[in-house]
Amino acid sequence: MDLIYLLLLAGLYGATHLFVLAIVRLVGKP
Amino acid sequence: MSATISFCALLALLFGLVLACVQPLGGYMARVFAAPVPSPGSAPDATAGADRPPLALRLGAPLERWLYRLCGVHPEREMDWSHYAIALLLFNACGALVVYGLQRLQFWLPLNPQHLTAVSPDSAFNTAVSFITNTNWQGYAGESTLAYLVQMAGLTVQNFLSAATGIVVAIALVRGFVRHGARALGNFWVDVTRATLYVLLPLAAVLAVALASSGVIQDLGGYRQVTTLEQATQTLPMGPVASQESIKELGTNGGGFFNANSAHPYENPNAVSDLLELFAILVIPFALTATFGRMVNDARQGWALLVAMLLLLVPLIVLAWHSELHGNPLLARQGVDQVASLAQSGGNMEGKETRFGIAASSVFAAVTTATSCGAVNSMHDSMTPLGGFVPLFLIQLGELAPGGVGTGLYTILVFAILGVFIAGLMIGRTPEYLGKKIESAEMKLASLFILTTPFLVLIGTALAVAVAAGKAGVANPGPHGFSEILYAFSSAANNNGSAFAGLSANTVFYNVATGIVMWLGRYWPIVLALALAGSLAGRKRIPVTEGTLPTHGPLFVALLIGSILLIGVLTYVPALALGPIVEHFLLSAAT
Repeated sequence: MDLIYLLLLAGLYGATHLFVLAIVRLVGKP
Repeated sequence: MSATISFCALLALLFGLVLACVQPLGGYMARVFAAPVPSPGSAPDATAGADRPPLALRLGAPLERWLYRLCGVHPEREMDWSHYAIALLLFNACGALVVYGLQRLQFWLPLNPQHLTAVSPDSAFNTAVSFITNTNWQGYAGESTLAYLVQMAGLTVQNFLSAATGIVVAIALVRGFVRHGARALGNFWVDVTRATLYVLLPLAAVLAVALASSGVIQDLGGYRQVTTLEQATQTLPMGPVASQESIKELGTNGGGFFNANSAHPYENPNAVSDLLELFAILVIPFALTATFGRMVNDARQGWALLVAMLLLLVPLIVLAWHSELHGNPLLARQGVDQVASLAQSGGNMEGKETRFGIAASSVFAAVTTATSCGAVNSMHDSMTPLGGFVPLFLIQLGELAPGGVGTGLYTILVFAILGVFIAGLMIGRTPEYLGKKIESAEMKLASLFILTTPFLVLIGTALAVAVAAGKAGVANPGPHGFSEILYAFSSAANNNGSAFAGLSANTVFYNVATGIVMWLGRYWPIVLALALAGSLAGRKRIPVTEGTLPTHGPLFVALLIGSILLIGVLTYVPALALGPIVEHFLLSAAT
């Protein structure tokens, strides 16, 4: 069970990291 | 003393104390974040006069340098917005892993005199996300679930760090307005260290002593067995409460040591501790407006935001108090005496502590939801429909009046950008704010920022009422049950943490769903706020002309309040109509 929730945490982190990259593309490289 | 006089006296005392601290604390925070990074070769007290770093920075410089060396941080290296955001995310993700691990391993760890077993994985996940995101939503009862070590090394530590995270995002956004033609927003590690060392820790230490002096307990012994007057044996949970209580309020965290939160007599024993807690919740968010004014070199800009916050908050406090004071009309119809007198507080006292009464309970409910605190000294679920509408609506407005530590300032600044954009559309000029042109990139980011949280609230609520696992948690079917679910997702997405207590939320469905919503509701707006800061910092400053909308006067304040209310009402009224509003009409019709 722990693995599932640790993967969920990793997934949330990964999704937010990708969100940063998407916003970089949206507004241009700082 | 009449109920009205005592209510007005409480408001006057509370806001008098808070407003008296706004300029000194706000100015201090501006100096903390503007001070140069200490290096072994240059003493931080080399500068003189107004630019001289505060005494705390000069005293703490050796510790600060040591922390940077220990963590391999290069404090002189500034970051652009994307590196700042990724550092913030990594820092918070590591915090989540630590809190999760502590809960799962607590049985084998020290400071567990009650030999409490490991927290279930879904609850541990929810609590870890809850505390790193400054939400402090609690699906468990602290005194029967978490050992002292988890409360101190896990939750209290995150109370500091999550609050510091909110502050540094606000500071980075303000730097975006201040800097021009620049890429860098500062160094995340330096900012978060300073927010913790020089702002939160000293204030929390002073407040912890004050709270302990007023009767809040601070104890590391085991739970105590006492014999009651009826000769029964009762177990009294104890613990290091005052130290957690102080940062719980100052950091607008809200997670209680005990399940009853600030309604528990060990967390909030009397009127003095209650006033201290209310003050602590409000002081940093309001003071950050002065920090903003100081950093942009125009104190009037900070005052304008502060006035807008007050004009949003105070009428809603009055509405909550007025609704609770008049009690439950169904009970009135049956001849129950609900009038305030020497014998009773009067009004709707269900779910309220008699030592606080209507006024202190209503003010606390509004203040804790106008910020992102979520501590409670009464049960919001037991408020009248209109009284309960106030905390729910304050959360849904985005918690910007004055909002959480840092989150309130950066959220209202995003609305300020929206406000000047709307004004620009009306008068046909390019919008600008604080000498920066607001262009397409800024408006895209501001729009995404404003849409993210309502999306999470409404989709989360819709999902919960559509699936059996979501409906299973509802104890009060009908509009009140809908309000409980709407409140849960509003609280989670806005990182408030308070609850309409009737919902059984410690289930796998709610632990996972609210955990995801808390994470996305915290970090996606933070990423957007930092991107906005980066975009603004890169723009050149433009001169003030006759066509520039003054952003320190009543017209701007009205425009800002109008934009906030317009967005809040348009977004949430359909959902509110299915919950507290229809419940209010049903109650009225029944009488």
